[in-house]
Amino acid sequence: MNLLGKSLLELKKLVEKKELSLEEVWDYFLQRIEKYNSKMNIFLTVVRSRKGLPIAIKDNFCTRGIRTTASSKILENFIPPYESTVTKRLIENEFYPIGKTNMDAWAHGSSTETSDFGPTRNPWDLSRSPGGSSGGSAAAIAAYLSPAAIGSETAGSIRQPAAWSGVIGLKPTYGRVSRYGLIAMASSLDCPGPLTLTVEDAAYLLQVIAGKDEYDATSLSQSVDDYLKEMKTKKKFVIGIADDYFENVDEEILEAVQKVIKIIRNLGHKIKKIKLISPKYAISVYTIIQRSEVSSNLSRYDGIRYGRNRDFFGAEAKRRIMLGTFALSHGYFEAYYKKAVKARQLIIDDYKKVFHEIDLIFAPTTPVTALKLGEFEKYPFFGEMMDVLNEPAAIAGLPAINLPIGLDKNFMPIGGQIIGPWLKEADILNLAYQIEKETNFFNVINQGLKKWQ
Amino acid sequence: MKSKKNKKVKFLLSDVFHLARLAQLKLTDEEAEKYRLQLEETLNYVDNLNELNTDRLEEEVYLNLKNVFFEDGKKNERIFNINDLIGKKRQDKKYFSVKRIL
Amino acid sequence: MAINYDLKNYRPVIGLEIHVELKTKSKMFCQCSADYFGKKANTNVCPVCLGLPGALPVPNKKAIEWTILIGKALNCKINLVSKFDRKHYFYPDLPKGYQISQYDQPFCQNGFLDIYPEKSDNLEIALKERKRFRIRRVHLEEDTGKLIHQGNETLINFNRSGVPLVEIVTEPDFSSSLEVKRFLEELQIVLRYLNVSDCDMEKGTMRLEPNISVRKILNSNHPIPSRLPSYKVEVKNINSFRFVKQAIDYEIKRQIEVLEKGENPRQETRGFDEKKGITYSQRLKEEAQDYRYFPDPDIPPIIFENEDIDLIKVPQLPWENLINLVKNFSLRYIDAFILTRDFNLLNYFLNLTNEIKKRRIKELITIEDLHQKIANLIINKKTIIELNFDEVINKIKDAFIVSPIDEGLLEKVVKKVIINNSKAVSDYHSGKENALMFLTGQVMKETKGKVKAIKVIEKLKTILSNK
Repeated sequence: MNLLGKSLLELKKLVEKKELSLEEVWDYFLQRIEKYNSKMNIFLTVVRSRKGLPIAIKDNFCTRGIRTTASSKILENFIPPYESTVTKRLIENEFYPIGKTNMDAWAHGSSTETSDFGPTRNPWDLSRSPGGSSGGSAAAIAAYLSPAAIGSETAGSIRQPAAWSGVIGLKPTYGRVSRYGLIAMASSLDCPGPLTLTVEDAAYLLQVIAGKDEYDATSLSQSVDDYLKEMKTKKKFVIGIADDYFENVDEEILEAVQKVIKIIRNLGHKIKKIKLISPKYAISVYTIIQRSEVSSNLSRYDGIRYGRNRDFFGAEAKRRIMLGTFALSHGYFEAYYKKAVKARQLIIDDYKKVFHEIDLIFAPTTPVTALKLGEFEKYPFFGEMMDVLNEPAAIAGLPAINLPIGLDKNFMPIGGQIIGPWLKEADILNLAYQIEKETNFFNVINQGLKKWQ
Repeated sequence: MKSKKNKKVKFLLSDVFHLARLAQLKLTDEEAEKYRLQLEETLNYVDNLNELNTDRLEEEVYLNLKNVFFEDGKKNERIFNINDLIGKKRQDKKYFSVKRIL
Repeated sequence: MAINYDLKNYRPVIGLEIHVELKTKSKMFCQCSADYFGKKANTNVCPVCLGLPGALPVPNKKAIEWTILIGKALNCKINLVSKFDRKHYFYPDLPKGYQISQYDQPFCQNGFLDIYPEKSDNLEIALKERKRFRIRRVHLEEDTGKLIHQGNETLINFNRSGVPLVEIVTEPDFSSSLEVKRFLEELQIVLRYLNVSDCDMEKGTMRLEPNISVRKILNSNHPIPSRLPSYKVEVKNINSFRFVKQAIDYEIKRQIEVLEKGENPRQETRGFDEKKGITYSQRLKEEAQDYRYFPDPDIPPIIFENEDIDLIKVPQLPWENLINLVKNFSLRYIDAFILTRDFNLLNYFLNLTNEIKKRRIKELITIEDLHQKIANLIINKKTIIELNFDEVINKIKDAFIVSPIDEGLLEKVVKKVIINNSKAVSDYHSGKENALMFLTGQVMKETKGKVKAIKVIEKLKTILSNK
């Protein structure tokens, strides 16, 4: 049986019907990893669990007994003595890690190039970045070295690599999925989420990992929707389109997004223009809050109890620690950190207001498609600029999903995103599923897989 | 929205070294100079927040959460031994240690 | 210590920072045991209190309630909206590089603790002599690990890391070491009444950091300047009330000597050498620490309603009990004061008197000054509180009841004593008066003092003369 491109749920069904053994599944993926991983540097650690169905895990989730580095030299030899809640829930549902995926070190970046273990290459074009920070997880799916993957997003780190690598990436509501055992980047923003080949897989994996966790005080206790069921009810929505999210976006991406908007309208949904606060303020809010929390969260790495000492931080981590230390320091706290927190509230209120008039927002995921490796050095604010369209929803804690919506002239994937109100993952998935059924994502995913037979 | 025209933020090398000391980072002179410029650049960008009027806003309430506790005496399911962390090589060792500090 | 300066020209200004470990079952932010004593190094740890990557804190509800209880007992205003903040500094005993503490919204603020005199003729006078010391804040944080300095190494044991720690900060209201000592004793008693901490200085479950400065007064009639001195000396590593007194006295003397020379004492942190009874310089505070406090994003805010706070009940504190003992039990002030020093003694007294009342033991109830007598018994013989009520009530009966003994029984005893002490009997007959006293003593002993001596002598004489 040719397994190439089979979704996680398809594999699950085949195994349940005994048409496929788990042994065959593991052999298949481990062989592919053997063959292709060195070309793309996707997995930092390969795990031959050979139990349950395989799933790729971003290397910032603590996995008991399995090396977890966050792609940093400091944690190069760190073997956690405990299991993150996300991986624990996956294992309880018979999904076992097949490997730990490369990422930007400490999740600082949007290209996977700040990894202390070398960049991951985009399966669509090895000279390009897969995006980041969950670049390894996105590439693992795009090259089909794993049927599905778990990533984490602080502001764009799931959606942007999903867009650049041509897969589906779901960033849930902040608190919907436990952060316990996820190596903290910015605690008030970090969100685990799935990267998959189908909307169903995303819905299913979210169902598995979502829900209240007694070990994470910021996890939400609201009951988890039956996403798989709810997404298939073909709801009709009012979709908001904000001009500010179309500024400074490449022409080809705009065209692809307009094409999807047309399809959405044809599916019977209403399109409505909305006005949101410009994303340029979200960049500032995000920069200050994220750096402040980073400087604090990275304080524990002193090399005494585990890992190497602070001299081993890379340039990007140091840069962020420096700014965060400044933003929290005496005399500047009010002007920077507090100001940013208040502006964050403005952005949250802005979304709340808008979601009275509409159900969901549709927008491009990134202003450009995948850049060549090394290009980020030319852009001072690289990460922030790449994530400009992801940051507003992230700082408001809102759920969003990236969908492949076409290819550009370089044959690189284009991503579009649906942003929803707080805890409305079911609605996002519902619309995403309708688009998937209608377009099969313009065959983007299949075309990508063809490169890695 | 109101707009306060602020002066450009300026950093001295000594400011950079002060921050590095607080964060326990060792910087070379070149690194410090690089960070000095990057700090200035970033802070001048985020200055756009002064265009937003946030005077009447309360403190953040974005979490929609309050009073999350655990009950004292709850069973501990997470206890582990130092050896789980340090590894089998140093089973003899019960303490973490640093060079004498006092 | 010889004082060779005129204290009249100087006025010490002393404030206190007191840390108290709560005796909850669990630690502050994880389920490890808060009782770390005697455990093997680094065995009482989990990902949270060891600061592993990805671990998150969840606050212990009881620790928060107890902090508010302490605040209420110290007459504080309780903040309905509160939060935890991260306080950043690097030290090997601090696993996360920050301590979870409270900064601008502590649970409790602006309270006071009253200190009453040990001796007083009555309550009114005591009330007049009362001294009030203001409490600035009471907040909750997590304890650090423990360091052991050994050879070239400093060893770290994280068993204590994350134990709930309450910090009580006073205003600089103290002007002598004696005031400080009395305040600390009272605070310790109050906290033990609340049953929230062992407050054991030696074990380190109660830790003190006085900050001391001295202000020069130009002339004693001149009103005291309202501005505090420009420096402050903090003293650390003090593990008894006696040493805190010594340390403060030493500091006052040392600082006055510096001032006498026309210099200003340095702002610094000093340690205390208990063998020599002196303080020594530890580190200068040239540059103020920048802790970069900000709200801990891992912990949602704590928002209470007034009703929640009302549910946290403060038991009757020493002073209220003292009033009760004086007014309703007619105890002398000094005895009431002593009894209320120790919650166990006080409770024993109250329960015992209640039990006697309940059992309607007539011969006891009718005793004059019974309560005062019981109080004396408890105060003089503290071991009494280990006895159960039956035993102690018998003891009280033995001590205070003089009841007529059965004539026949007395005669039996007297006869037995006469038979067993033939030497004394013959001495008596040969006219030695001491022998009679000896025999009387023997009878008293046998009858457990239930018969008056005069009656015994009478009986002895009668029987001896019949022989």
